[in-house]
Amino acid sequence: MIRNICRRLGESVIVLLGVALMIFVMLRIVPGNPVATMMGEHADLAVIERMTAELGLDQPVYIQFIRYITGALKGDFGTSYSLGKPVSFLMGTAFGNTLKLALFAALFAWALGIACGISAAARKNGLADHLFMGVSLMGVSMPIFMVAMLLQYVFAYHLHWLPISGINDWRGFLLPAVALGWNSAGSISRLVRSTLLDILQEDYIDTARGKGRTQAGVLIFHAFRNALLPVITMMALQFSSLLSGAVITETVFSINGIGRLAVQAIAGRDIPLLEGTALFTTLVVILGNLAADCLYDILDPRIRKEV
Amino acid sequence: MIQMKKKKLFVLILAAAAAAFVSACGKAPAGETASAAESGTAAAAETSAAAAPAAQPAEDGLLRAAILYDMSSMDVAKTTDNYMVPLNVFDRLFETRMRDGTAQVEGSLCTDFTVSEDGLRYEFTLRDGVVFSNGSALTASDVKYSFERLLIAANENTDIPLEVAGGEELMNGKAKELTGFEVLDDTHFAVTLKAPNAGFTAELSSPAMSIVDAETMESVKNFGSEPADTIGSGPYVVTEWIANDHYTLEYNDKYWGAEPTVKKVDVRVIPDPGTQNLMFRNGELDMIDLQSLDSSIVESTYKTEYPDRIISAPRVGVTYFALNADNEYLKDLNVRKAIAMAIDADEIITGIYNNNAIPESGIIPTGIWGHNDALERTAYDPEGAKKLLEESGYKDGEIHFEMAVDSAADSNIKLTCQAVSQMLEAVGIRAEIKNYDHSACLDLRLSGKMDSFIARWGMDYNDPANIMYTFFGSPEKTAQRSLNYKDKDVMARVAAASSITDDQAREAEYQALEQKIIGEDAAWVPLFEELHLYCLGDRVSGFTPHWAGFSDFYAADVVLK
Amino acid sequence: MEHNILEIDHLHVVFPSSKGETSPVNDVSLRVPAGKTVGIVGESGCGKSMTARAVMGLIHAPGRITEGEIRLCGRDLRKLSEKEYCSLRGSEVSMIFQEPMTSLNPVMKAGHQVEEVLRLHTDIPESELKQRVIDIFRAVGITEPEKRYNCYPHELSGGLRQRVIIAMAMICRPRLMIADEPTTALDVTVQAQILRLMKDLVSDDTGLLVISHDLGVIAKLCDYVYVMYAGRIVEESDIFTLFDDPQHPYTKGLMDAVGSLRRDAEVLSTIPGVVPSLAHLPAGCSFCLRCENGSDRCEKELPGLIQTGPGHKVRCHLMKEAGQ
Repeated sequence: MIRNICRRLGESVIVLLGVALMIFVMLRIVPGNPVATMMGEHADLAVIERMTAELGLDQPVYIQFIRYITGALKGDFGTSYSLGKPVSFLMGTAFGNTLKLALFAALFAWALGIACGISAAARKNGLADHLFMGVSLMGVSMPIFMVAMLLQYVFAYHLHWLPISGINDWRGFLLPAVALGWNSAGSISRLVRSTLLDILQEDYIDTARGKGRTQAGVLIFHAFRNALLPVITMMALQFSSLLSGAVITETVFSINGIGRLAVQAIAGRDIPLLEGTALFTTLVVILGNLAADCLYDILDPRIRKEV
Repeated sequence: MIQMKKKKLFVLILAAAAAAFVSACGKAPAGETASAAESGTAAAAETSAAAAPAAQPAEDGLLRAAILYDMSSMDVAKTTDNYMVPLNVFDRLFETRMRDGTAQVEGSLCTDFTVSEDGLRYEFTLRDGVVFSNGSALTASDVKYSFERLLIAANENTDIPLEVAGGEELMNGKAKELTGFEVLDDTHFAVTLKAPNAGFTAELSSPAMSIVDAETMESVKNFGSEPADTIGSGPYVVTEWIANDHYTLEYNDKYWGAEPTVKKVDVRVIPDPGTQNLMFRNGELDMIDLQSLDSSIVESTYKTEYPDRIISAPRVGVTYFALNADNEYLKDLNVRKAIAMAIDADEIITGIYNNNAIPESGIIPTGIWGHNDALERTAYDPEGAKKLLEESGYKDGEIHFEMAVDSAADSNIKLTCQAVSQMLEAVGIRAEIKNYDHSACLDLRLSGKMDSFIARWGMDYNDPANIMYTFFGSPEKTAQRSLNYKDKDVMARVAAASSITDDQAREAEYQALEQKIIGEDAAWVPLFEELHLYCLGDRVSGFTPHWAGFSDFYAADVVLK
Repeated sequence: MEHNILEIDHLHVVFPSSKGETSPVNDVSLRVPAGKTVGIVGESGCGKSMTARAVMGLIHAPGRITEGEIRLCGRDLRKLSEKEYCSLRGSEVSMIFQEPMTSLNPVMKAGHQVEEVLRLHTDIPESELKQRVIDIFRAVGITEPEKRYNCYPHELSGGLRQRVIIAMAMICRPRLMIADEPTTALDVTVQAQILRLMKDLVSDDTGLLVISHDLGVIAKLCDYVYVMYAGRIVEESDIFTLFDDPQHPYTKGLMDAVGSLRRDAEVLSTIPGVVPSLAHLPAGCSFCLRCENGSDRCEKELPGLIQTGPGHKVRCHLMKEAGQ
């Protein structure tokens, strides 16, 4: 297993380099001058040209790329054009916030998705099943900004239970986490339910019942453990997307996170920040997949053996 | 045993999660009905919330404000967009302040000045005893350093110091210092200009001309990005800046001027206008910039619920329709005139801006010295426009060009583009709207290859040169700004107008040029000047916005109850 | 006097479906006496597994028992609450399911799966559980039981898995064990070992109910046999009588089919026709359509179980009641 992980980490480095190069090249193909954008409407062409030279953006792309990569290896990802601070510093702060947010959201999504999925599967076509699956359909189909604004309006503005925006304490994370995790909770509960229903047809479920396990005991100790396999994969993949794609939630709840940083970078043609966030997002997705694989290995003894 | 415990714990967790969900479900329907009534986006009028209950009491002297985007720098050598910190943390030789409804240039650090006969040499006297917030004295050499720094750093805001004799040489590295700047003693200095400029003192009131401390600048590394390194002499010091989250200004007890009622300003970065709206209505903000809110919310909620708390100030500048003189149709004077006649600016002002804008007929906008109230607006006359096109022999729908829309532009500008396109369609001109990403749009515009666009120019300082010269002052300027306006004669006159020392003569020349460019050449279609609306919370008793209607403001101009 | 571990009287199991109800178990009565092994034999789909599931209380929805009584050591199982039933399963009555390959939970260690039964039904201290499991592993002939304890099912052979399942079924010493096709999925050599093991399971106060389509298995294990066809018992008898003197045409057909295999006959003997769909059973004898001697009466009138000899009953119109 260790060797496997090392191999995949090695592959990841190549993917990262590829992504870095692709973004580098793409940023220079798309129309729009990063310096002009950075300097704003009132800046003169002469000033823009001077600044371009100062930033080294007049150099051939390959030289810029080599410069970037050597810097990156030393942990220097350049200075953001739009925020005027080192990219590594900006991403560090933003990542901390996004990580907390994603963790809260994932916990919410997992707990809710799994609980609803199990109770729906426990009595197929029962009241809980129809209720939870109805709600989860809403979960997967409701756009995230709508959920976010609804939550904000009801729980923060109307009921005054939680802050409207900002993450000064754990309470601030609750609404964004629910908004962000809502879609995931919906899809997880549906996956848990359908996987459980399949598993409940398996022979070993009869064996467990034959031992004297109650319906609930069978669900939780036998069916669920097996259902976890596909669910874990989904959760790990979703977690990496939670980490990299929380733009709307971060905007609505004013959280300084990676998603917002990335959007800011795109809008402002902020090359260093864009490179940084893109590389980071790639890394997160790679690690997410890796984590899913590892968890799968751990949870499924059959795979563990083969690896 | 351990395993058993684990299992029990697991069951407990599941049960708790289920319970949490059920209780959440119980509440959800109430939320949904409430939101259905609110029509989604954000709160519409709702009487129970009108009282705007305070979430938690704010400390005395604290002003809580919100911005949509964080600043990129606190250093005017690096930014032309983010002036909140420069306005409040630094002083300038002059300030332009609103006095009885008009913008006045007043001495600030400068208590007295004289101008030579030829308008070239200025002698300034500095206010006595001014110190920076770190205690170091503000002297004439700090002023000199501040001028030179802009040229040496040479990023943003180089225009004004470049007017000083020797500016060019310093910027190019041919000189070591600004020769036109003489330090006479600690509180006296003289500045010699390359050419006379009647608007020089107004220019010196621009945030760009903020005075920094020479000694501090030599010793700190992160001026403009680290609060502790960003030292000025203004009424406030910046104490904290967390990028993309908030920054804090606190009263500078070494400030030479009157003590403001606002002792501390907390500026939060709230990127979602809907969230700003809820925060304000919840009493978490003491003022809100209504510029960013959906105009329907402003109309339906703010104007009905808080009519007495809305402050309106012109965003000094002009929204204009630029036409590329190189375009095969737009180079025809009759076509440009027909376009000007086909656009009903009043309709846009009422229909899109809910009357929060005033029509403009020229280039120099209302609120700027030299603005010509008497300049006649091109009358809305679609029939006359059609006739003009017929005279030039164009068939219906033959004239077509692209109208570029910046995707980052605010929704009102986008709506205005659509309205204009429809108005032109009505006279047989096809202006096809094309959306560009902000960066691409700017790039295309500066290259001079864009067919047409609608944008707003906000004034940087209270002098007509800021817009006249920038748009029509030289072939480079016209290529970038006014899409290849051709008349070299006009350009020369615009450039020369800055040097006219006699105010009246200068004003007359600008107005004549305006008449020529707009009235005769129809190079530009001026549309209107927007009003900037703010709404004040119940802790605020008064507010005077920045004279130019910036989103940034003097915190000292806010009066707390 | 010998007492019965299991008594089933007039059991009916019904599955509602869109096309109407089917009755996979129709008026089945049977006895498992203490110390005896009883077999139910029949083709797949005849209702024998369903009968076993009915005893375990594990009929999959939407099927349900509509009529009849099931008594385990005198207790009426149909009157038990779900909770009481759960405490019964695994401790009083247990079942060996037919697929050793898939009847074990793939993500749990074999030892833990057996241990689970003890946890559910006994107060044996945590520290002794493992030893108990290892003991029972040894008892069912699992070599290296300590090692197997920590194996996952996929690491075990079919025979070992079946032994684990048997260990699971017997660890609480239930009064009744039900073995549903215990050897079908195993190769022949392993089959023999498992059968030998099962033979030893029965003690004086327990009973074993073996369900199989394989007359060979039945012959090796059972003392008494019920032959089921299309949801009904068609013949019941002690093992010797049945093999010596099968009465029902269906039983005879089964015997011939097996016999033809044994004799290496050139033409395999088969029962003509197919098992009728449960949804389309004739009003009379369900075998009549395949029966060489079927008559009008067979088609219209359901024959009762006729006593043809001591402990020998046959459901056929052609039979004459013994002693008449």
